[in-house]
Amino acid sequence: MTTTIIILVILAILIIWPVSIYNKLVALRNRFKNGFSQIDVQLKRRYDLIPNLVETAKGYMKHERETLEAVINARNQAQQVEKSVAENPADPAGIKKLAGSEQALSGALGKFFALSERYPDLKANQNMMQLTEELTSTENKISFARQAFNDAVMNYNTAREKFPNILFANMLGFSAASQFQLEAPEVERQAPTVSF
Amino acid sequence: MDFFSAQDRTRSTTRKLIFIYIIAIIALNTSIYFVTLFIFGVAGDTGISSLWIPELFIGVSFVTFSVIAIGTISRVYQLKKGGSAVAEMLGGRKVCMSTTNTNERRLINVVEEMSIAAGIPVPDLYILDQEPSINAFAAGYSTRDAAIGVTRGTLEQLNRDELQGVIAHEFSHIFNGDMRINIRLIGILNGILLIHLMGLMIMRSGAYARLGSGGRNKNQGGIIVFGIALLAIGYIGMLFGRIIQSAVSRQREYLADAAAVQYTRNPDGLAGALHKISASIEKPTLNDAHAMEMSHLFFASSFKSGLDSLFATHPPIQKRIKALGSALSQEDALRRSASINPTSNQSESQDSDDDHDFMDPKLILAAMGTIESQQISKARGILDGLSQPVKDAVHEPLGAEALIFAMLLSGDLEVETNQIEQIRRVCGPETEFAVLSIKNHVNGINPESKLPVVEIAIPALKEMSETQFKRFRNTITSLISADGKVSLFEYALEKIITHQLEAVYSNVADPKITHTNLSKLGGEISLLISAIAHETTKNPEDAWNAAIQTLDEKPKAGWNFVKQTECTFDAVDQALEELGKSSGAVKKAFLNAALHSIALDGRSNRNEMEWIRAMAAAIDSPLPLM
Repeated sequence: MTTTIIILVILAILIIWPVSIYNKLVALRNRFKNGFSQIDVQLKRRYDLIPNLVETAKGYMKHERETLEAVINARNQAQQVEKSVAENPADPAGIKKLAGSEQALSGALGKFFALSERYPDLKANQNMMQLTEELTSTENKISFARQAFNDAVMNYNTAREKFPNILFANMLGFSAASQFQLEAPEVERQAPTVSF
Repeated sequence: MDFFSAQDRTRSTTRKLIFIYIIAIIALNTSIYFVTLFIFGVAGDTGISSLWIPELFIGVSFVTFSVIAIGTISRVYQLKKGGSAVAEMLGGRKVCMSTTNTNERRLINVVEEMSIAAGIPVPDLYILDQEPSINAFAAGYSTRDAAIGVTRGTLEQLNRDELQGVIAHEFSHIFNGDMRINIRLIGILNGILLIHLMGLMIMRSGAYARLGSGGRNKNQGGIIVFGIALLAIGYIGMLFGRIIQSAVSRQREYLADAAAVQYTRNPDGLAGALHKISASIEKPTLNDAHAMEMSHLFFASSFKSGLDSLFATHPPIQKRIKALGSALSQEDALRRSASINPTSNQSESQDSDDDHDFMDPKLILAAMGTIESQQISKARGILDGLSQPVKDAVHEPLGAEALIFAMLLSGDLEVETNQIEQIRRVCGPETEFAVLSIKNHVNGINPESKLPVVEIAIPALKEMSETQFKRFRNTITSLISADGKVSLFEYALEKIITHQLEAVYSNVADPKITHTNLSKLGGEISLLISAIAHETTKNPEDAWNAAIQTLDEKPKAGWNFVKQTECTFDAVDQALEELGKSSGAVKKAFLNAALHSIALDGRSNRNEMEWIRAMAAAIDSPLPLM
C-alpha cells in the first residue's frame, strides 16, 4: 500500500514539475517575442522613410550616387533580413544577422549624413528637415524597444539556465535566445578629422 | 446590471462553486477508495475482509486530495498573472499597439473607445493567428489585468459594427466578473483532469510491466485495472465538471449578449456577427489543445461535443439571435430617454473655464460598469481630437513615456529646464528628444482629456521592461516634486499610473475584503469626501453634509468634516488603501456620496473631476466619461 502511495505521489510530481517549468519558460519566451514586435514596427517605419530621404537628396547630391546607392542597398538587405527574423525572433542566428544588417544600414546612413553636411541647400530643405527629424525619432524608438527586448531576453535566458530548469529546457525545446546588440557604427566612432 | 452588485455576486457564486467542488472531490475520493479496495482486495491474498479499512481510506484520500489540490493550485497560480497568461496559454499573440496593420488598428480603436467610455484601463489585446474561425474571449482577474483576444477570422470577416458588438459582449464579461469565475473553473477542471491523466499513465505503465514480465504477476493485472478505473473515474469527474462549467456559462452568455446590445444600441452588429458564425463553413471550433478546458471563455462554442444540450457552454446561436430582438427592454428605453437630456450640455463643453453642468449622480452611478453608446461616440470624439503626434505617441512605449513626462512639465522656465535636465540624466538623450518634440502637442490637449489620454497610454507603457519601468517611475516622482509642491493633476496622474502599472511589474495581491459595511470606515470616508467638498463653489461643509446624507447609516462619532489643511495627499492615500479593502456595496455607497457632494452646486470643475478620477482608479472602480 505504502509503495502505491509513494509511486502515485512521485508520478504526480513528475507530471506537474516539468509542466510548471514549461509554462514559465513559455511565458517568458512570449514576452520577448512580443518585445520584438515592438522593434519590428519601428524598423519597418524606418525602411519606409529611407527611400523618401534618398529621393529628396537625389536632386541635390548629384555627384554622390555611390553613397545613395549604398544606402538603398543596405536598406533592402536589412528589410529582407527583418522579414525572416520577424517570423521567429527566438532564433539567435537570425537576430545576429539582423544586428549585422542594421549596423551596415546605420553605417551607410551615417556616411550619407556626413556627406550631406556639404550641401547647405539640402540641409535647409523643409522636406529633408522633417524626414531627418522623423528618422531620428524612429531610431530613438528602436533603441528604447531594443532595450526592453534585451531585458526580456536576459530574463528568459536566466530562467532557462537556472537549476533545475536547465535539465528540462533543452528537452522541451527551449534554446537560448540572443540579445539584439548594436555596436556604434564606425562613422560615429571616428574622431572628426579637421583640416584647414 | 449594476457593476458593484455583479462583482459582489461573483464572490458568492464562487463560494457556491467551491461547495460543489468539495462535494465532487468527496465523491471522487470515495469511488477511488472502493475501486482500490476491490481490486487490491481481490487481487491480493487477503480477500475482502471488510468494507472499511481506515488505513487504506486515509492513504487513498491523501493521494487523491494532494493530486487534485496540486492540479488546481498549480493552474490557478499560473492564471493568477491575469488575462495575459490565459491568452498566451491559448497561443495568443499580443497586438503591438503601434501596429500598422489596418485590421489590428481597427480593433485597437474599437477597444479604446469602449474603455474610455466605461472608464476602465484598456485591456491587453491578443490575436489567435492560427484560428480562421470567428471567435473571441475575455480573461483576467479584475479590470486591471483584463485581456481580450480575438481570432484571425474575427478580424478578417467582421465589419466594424459587428466587431464592436463582439467586443461589447466581451466587455460585459469583464464588468460582470465572469472572468474571475472562469479562472476558478479552469483550475477545478484541471485538478480532476489530473486524476484522469494519472489513470492513463498507471494503466500504460502497468501494461508495459506486464509485457516485460510475461504477464505472470497477478498484481500487475490489478494495476492495469486500477489504472482503467482511475481513468474512468477521472472521466466521469470531468463530465460533471463540464456540466457545471456549461451551466454557469450558458446563462452568462445571454446576459453578455443583452449587455452588448445595451452598450452599443445596435442589435444588428452583434446579430450580424452571430449570423456570420452560423453561416460560415469554418465552425467556431478552435484547433488549440486547450480549447475544451477553456471553452466557457469564448464568444461562441469553441469545441464540439456529442451531447450538445448538456455540455454546450453556449446557447445555440439561433436562440441567441432571437433573444437579441427583445434585448432592448423597457428599462433600456427608459435609460435611453433619461440620458438624452444631459447631452445638450455637450455643446457647452467649450466653456472658457473648466466649469461644467454636472449630470445627475444617479445616472452616473447607473452608468458605472456599463457603456452608453453616447459615451462611445464621445470617447471617439476625444480620440479624434488628438493631434497625430499624440496619437502615435500613446501607442508606443518611448512616446507614451515622453507624453507622461511632458504632461508633468511645470511651464515655469526655470523649473522646466531643471526637469528636462533630470529626464536627460536618468532616461538618456532619446527620451529628452522625444519629450521636447511632443511637448507642444501635449499643451494642445484639452485639459479634461488629459487623464483619459493617460489611460490610453497604459498598454504601451506596459511594454517597457522592468528596468525601464523603474526608471520611469522614479523620474515621475522627481518631476512631480521638482517645483516643491504636488498639484491635484499630478497626484491623480501618479495614482492612475502606479495603480495600473505596478500590478504588472510587481506581484500585488488583490486586497482582501475586510469591510462589508460602512461602520468602521467613518474616518476614511469623511476625509475623502471632505477633500472633494473643499473644491465646491458653495460652502464645503454643506457639500460634505449633502454627501453624508446619502449614506444609509447614520453618521456616528468619528464622522467629522475635515479641514482642508488636513486633507493631505498622504492622508488621502491611507484612506483610499483602507477603502480599497471593502466590498462593492461599500465602494458604491462611497462613490454615490462623493458624486452628490460634487452635484450640490449643479456644476463640476476640473479639480473635482481629478479628485474623483484618482479615487475611483485607486479603488478599482470604473468611472464613465461624464
